[in-house]
Order: sequence, then structure tokens, then C-alpha cells
Amino acid sequence: MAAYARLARKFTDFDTATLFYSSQANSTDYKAANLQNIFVGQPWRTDTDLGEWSKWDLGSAKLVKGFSLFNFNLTAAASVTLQASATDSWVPPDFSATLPITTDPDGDVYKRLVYFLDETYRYWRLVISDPTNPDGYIQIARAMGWPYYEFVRNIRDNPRWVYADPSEGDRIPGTQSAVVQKEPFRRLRFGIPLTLRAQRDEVVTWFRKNGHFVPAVLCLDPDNYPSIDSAYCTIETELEEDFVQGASAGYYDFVQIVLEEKTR
Amino acid sequence: MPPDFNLPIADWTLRVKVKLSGSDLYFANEELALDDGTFWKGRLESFSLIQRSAGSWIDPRVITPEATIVFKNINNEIVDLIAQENWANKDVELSVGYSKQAANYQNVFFAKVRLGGREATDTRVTIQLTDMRSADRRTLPQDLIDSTTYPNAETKSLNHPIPWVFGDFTFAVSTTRVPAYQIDHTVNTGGQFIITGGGLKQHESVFLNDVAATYANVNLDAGTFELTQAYNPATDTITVHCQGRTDTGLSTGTLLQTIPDITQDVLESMMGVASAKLDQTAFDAWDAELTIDDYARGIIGNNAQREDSDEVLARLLFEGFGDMIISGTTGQYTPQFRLGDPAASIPTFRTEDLLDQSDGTKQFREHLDDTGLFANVMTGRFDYNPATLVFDDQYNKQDDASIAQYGLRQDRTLDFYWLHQTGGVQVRTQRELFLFSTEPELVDLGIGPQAAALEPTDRFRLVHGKYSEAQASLFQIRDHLVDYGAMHTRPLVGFNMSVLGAGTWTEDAAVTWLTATDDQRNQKGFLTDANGYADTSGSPSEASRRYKYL
Repeated sequence: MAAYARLARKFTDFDTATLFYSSQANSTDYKAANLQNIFVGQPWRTDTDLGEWSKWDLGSAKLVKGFSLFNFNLTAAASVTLQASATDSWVPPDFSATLPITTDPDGDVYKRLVYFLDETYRYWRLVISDPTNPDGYIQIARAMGWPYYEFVRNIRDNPRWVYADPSEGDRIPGTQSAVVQKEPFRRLRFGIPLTLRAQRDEVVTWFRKNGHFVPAVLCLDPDNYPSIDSAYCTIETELEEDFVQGASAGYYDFVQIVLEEKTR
Repeated sequence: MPPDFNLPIADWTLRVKVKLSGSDLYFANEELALDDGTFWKGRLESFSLIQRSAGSWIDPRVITPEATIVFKNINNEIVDLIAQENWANKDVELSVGYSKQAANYQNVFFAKVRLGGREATDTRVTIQLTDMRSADRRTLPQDLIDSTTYPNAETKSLNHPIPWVFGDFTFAVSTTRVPAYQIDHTVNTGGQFIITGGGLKQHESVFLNDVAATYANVNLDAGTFELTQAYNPATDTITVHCQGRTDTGLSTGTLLQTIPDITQDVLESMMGVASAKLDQTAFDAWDAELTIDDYARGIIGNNAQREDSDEVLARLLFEGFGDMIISGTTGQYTPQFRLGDPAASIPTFRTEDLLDQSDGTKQFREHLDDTGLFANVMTGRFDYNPATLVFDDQYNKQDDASIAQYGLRQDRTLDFYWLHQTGGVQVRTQRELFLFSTEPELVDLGIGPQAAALEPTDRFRLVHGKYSEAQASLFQIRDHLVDYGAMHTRPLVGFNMSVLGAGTWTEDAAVTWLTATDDQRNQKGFLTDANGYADTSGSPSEASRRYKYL
């Protein structure tokens, strides 16, 4: 059975870890620590595009079930390796995996990468080489590993991606006007059956702790399209749950949620 | 390479740089990581429309545009930054561009944070901007004959501004002389006098009550001399023949006597504008358009009057047939002579470049100048005498063709405080007469990104409606209102310069006078015979002699 949708909303392990790095273009605007805040507009920028790395010391061994990168300048030819080790020793690492870059039908890279794993280590390292990168440096806005919650009843109510284009221009019928182009983003509308207490608690906690402004990572199809069908997103709508006291204690019915992807 | 403003689709991004003494702050309307290593924080929530103007045709001046920036005050970030260093009167540069290549961005507006122009809430900080001119503005001249510096000055001259004298007031040019003021009655027989605070090129002669007087110890650089004969402050006046300020302020320099040179010196030496803030190429180009007939002379601070630098500059611009802006690209004071120039680099806006209205028509409006400046009888008063405060000469000209055509006689007096030569005054008066004896035409347009980098005094051609491709009508931007968020300029107000092009150029396919419509006769130039008649019928209409004024 294919995996249900997965939700990652706690990034504390990586965001509070001690961070090391191979280089940073400067210590203010392009510092490596930019990987550890919620913004996807301000990146870590390296000095080169060869053998650059960042390393997280989590303080103790932590279970990591997923790893993600958002808003980067990697090309389709980039080599991205996630490594982990019990000690700060990397020859060889205890765990190593190549993270796949995905592209659209035009061959352009999706600026999001989600990878699932199930490993418990203290030290984590991301190693990148992208020798054909036209920028000559590596740039990544957000990188973190996380545990996730997998919905025990899958989302339903015709989950729908809505692709939004915030570009500006005069919309006059039959007329092509000049356009101030902005990065498109997606909205996702879906319903979650809350027939299980655990699922209800997870969703409510997600809303209570992240609110409308702290992003989470949602992946709709972890098995087949972990990167393409994922989004770094916030909850746009208020969370309404019908509290139903019926014969079956703890039947909470169903909530509808609208999420909005953050691309910049 | 500057950005390509003709791109139909681009991720146009607005940037604001706040220049502080310690470091610069970079903001944009979204997070912007550029290849030059700069990062522009996405704290810019909005930027108001910017209206800029070169002033009216008859009153050219550097109009102060105002704008408002709203910052997102996330976690009190902007308030904290302001607390570290007050932003008041700090330089702000607005730029637009696209992509992550820094080379694809261009400055479009140089400004200063307006004093008192700030308000903050928990979520937003609003900053009001004004342009640099407001900080440069001065009351001229700056120095006075004060009792501390000049304890022995004559009473009637106390607190009189120390004038700055420009141009040639020697006897060879005219009998007009420059007043002098006693600053120390204890020196020599008649005391020490000051003519100017800006230095002199030459000191020729001194007159006591219009009679040649004796003097000594001339100091050209200080603008002073000593009278060696008796002087009674209660009844006597002193005037001199001299040449005014030079380009170096020292007598060894070159006399300043063209309006562009004097304008530049007023900005640099009197207002304290750094030379880097002046577009030297543009000043030189303006200078090249004028002749020795356009030599100017005058006094700033005469007759106890201190003047606002705006007024001084406006008068110089008017008499020099120029406009001036602070360039949004360079941040420099940039003058522009007004005559039409059909240079190939001037952009052409065609129908497809005009923004659409909701009903599908174009954002285009043609209208006549309705400021009531029509005049077909001109009197130019010139050769202003700073000692007697009267104009010593005048030049009268009327446009018989215009009077006949409109059945109306409207007169106007032009007072020239700088131009003093008949030839220059005639040309300047005739230009004014030529322009306003018809109905000047303007267009209001809506243009997309193509016009975002243009600014007042820039020129463009228009091909739309009655403005045909062959006609290639030339316009000068007088005003515009730019929305850099949407990359729209609407309206862009253009002045039809073809009326000024008459006699200087015309297109190959131009209609002849006999076949031209009334509108074309008003707006275009024509080839003429030796007597200036464009009408080749053999019994030429007086109305066809319009070329003659240029």
C-alpha cells in the first residue's frame, strides 16, 4: 500500500543544531545559518560550487525520517549527498545517500527536494558539487531533517492543487500587456478525516504551534513524487473541527484546510 | 549592461538602498540575492507613485518630487535600525531591475529621507522621501555684512548680503555699473569697499556719484578696494566697472559669462553642491547650444535682496532656454537645452506601446496647453542696471500672422535679468513668441516598462493617431507619474517639440505649406523661400512666415 500523506512540522533538531560549513559568501547576508531559519528568500551562499558542505551536530543521536531542501540554485547535474555518522568522522560516513534533483518537462529544476529515510545519528552532513552551475557557487535557502507524521487515514475531499501566479499586469480581454513577473506558488485545499483521536491531535497541534505563519512540509505522494508533490507551506485557513459526541467516543468528523506554498 | 526596459515579461523588482554613515541598508519588495554578493531584504512593503516634473514651460524649475516607502517592521527590525542611526536626511537610492544579475538593475530615483517624515507601528514603518534638491536649497547669497565681521561698516550697508557678481560690467560692454558697499570706514580716506563675495576677474574703474573716483589696494579675489578720496555714507554712492566671478574664484581664472557656466557655479560655489553631483556633459552640451550673443551678467544679492536658490536657478534656466532635473539614473543635476534633437537614440512609442484601457482603447490624450500662456506680442526688457534697478533696454516683437489668424492680440513682458545683449534677447524673445503665438500641444500617455527609466526633459517620438510614422513627432517629457511596482508610467505628459523644430529640421515626406492643415501649420516646420515665406503661391500669406523667429 502506498504511503499516505506525510506532514513534517518540527525542525527543531536541525534548526538548533551546531552548524558547520565549508564556506559562506559572507557572514551576514549569506551566512550558513540562513539554512536554519524559516525564510526561503535569504540563502546560504558558498564560495565555490565544488565539494561544498554543511554539517549539523544534533548534540545526540536523533531519528531523522526525512530531509528537505528549498529554494536553491542547483542544476540538474548537481551531485547532492546526504551523509550521517555517529561520530564526527566521514571516511566513510555511517550513512550516505544521493538525493535526486527533479526537473519539469522543460528540464528546469524544481527548487524543492524532499527525501525520506529512517536513520538515527548525531552528525549529519550535506555535500554538494555542481561544477556546471553558471553562478559558480551553491545557494540554498532552507535545509533540514525532520521526523514526520503520516496520516493514518489519508486526506480526501478531492485534494486540489491550485497554481497561483502573483505576476502583475493589466488584464484586458484580448490584450497582451507587459508583465511584472513573480514566482508562481501553489495552494492546496484538502480535507482530513479526524476519525482517530491521534490524527485529530496531530492536526490541532500543527495549527496551534505553527499557526498561519510558520511553515511545515507536506508531502502528498511520498512513494512516487516525494519532491514534486511536496510543499513548504503554511496554513491559510482557520481550523474548524466539528466536535461530535456520539456513540463512539472521540469522533471528531472532518476538517478542511487550505495551505499556501512559500517560494520566496 | 542596464536592464532592457523593452522586455514584455520580466521579474521586475524594486530595490531601496538607505545610505548610512556606517554602512548601507538594502531592501527590496522581495528577498533578492544577487550575483554581486549583495542581499536585499524583502522588507519593502510598498512604494508610492513618484511624480516628477520639469516645471512649466515658462517657469522651468527643479520640482521636488515626494514619495513614501512602507517597510515591513518584522520584530521591530526597522525601528531598531533607525534607533541605531537616525535616517533623517540620509540618501536613499531607488532602483529597478530583474533577475539575479546585479547588472540588470538601474537607479531611477535619488532621494533623501524627509526630516520629520517617519512614522512607525508594530508592523510597519513609513518613510517619506524628498529629493536631494530640498537639502541643497539655500538662501543666496549666504554671507552678510554683519557687525561682528565688519565692525566698521557703514550703517546703511549693515546686514546687506554680500553680492556675487557674474559677467562683464566693464565700460566696453555698457555703461552699467555695479554697486559697492563700505565695510570699513577707518581704512584710507574714503574707506574700504566690497563689490562681491565671489571674487573678480577685473576691476576697471570706480565712480563716486557717477563721477570717476580714485582708489587703491584692489583685491580682486576678495572683491574689495579702498577709496582714496572723501566719502559721505549719508549722501554718496559708489559704483564700479568690473568683470565678475571666474571659474576658479580667483582673478587668474576664466570669466564666467554663459548661463550654463553661471548656473553650474551657483550650484557648486553658492549652494555647495559637490561637482560629482553635476552632469558636466549635460552642462557642456547646453553651453554649446548658446552663442556669444547669449552672454549673461547679473548680481545675486543686489539691492539688499537675498533670494531663494530655486528662484535664482529658475530664472537662469528660463533665460537660457533650458530645463533641469536631478537625474534618477545618476543623481546629478542635469540641464537640457530645449530645442528638438532628432537623434536616433530617442525612443519611439508606437500604438502597441501604449497601455490599454479597460474598454480596449489606448491610454492616449492629446490636448492643447490650457495654462493661458498664449501671447502674440512680446516685450523683452533687458540690460538690467543693478545700480538704478531699471532695465536700460527693451526689444518688442509681435506675430502678425498669429494676430490675424486668431483675431486676438495678447501681450506679455519678459524680464531678462541675465541676458544683456540685443542679439541674445531677440532670439530668446522670438522663441517665446513663436511658441506661444500658437496653441502649444501636449499628450498624456500611459506607457509600460519602456518609459520607466525616462525622466522629465527626456524626449521621445510618438507614432499614434494623427502622429504618423513619417511625421515622427518629437515630444519632451514635462511630467510623469511612475508606478515602479507595476512598471507603468501614467500619465506621461509630453510637450510637442515640433513647434520648436520649425526652421531647424523637417522630415523628407513633409507636406507643403499650401497642402498643410491648420493643425500642421501650427505644429510643423516648412521649407521657405529667401524671405521666409513657406507659401510658394507667388502672393504669400503672411501667416506662412512663421520660420523667421528661429
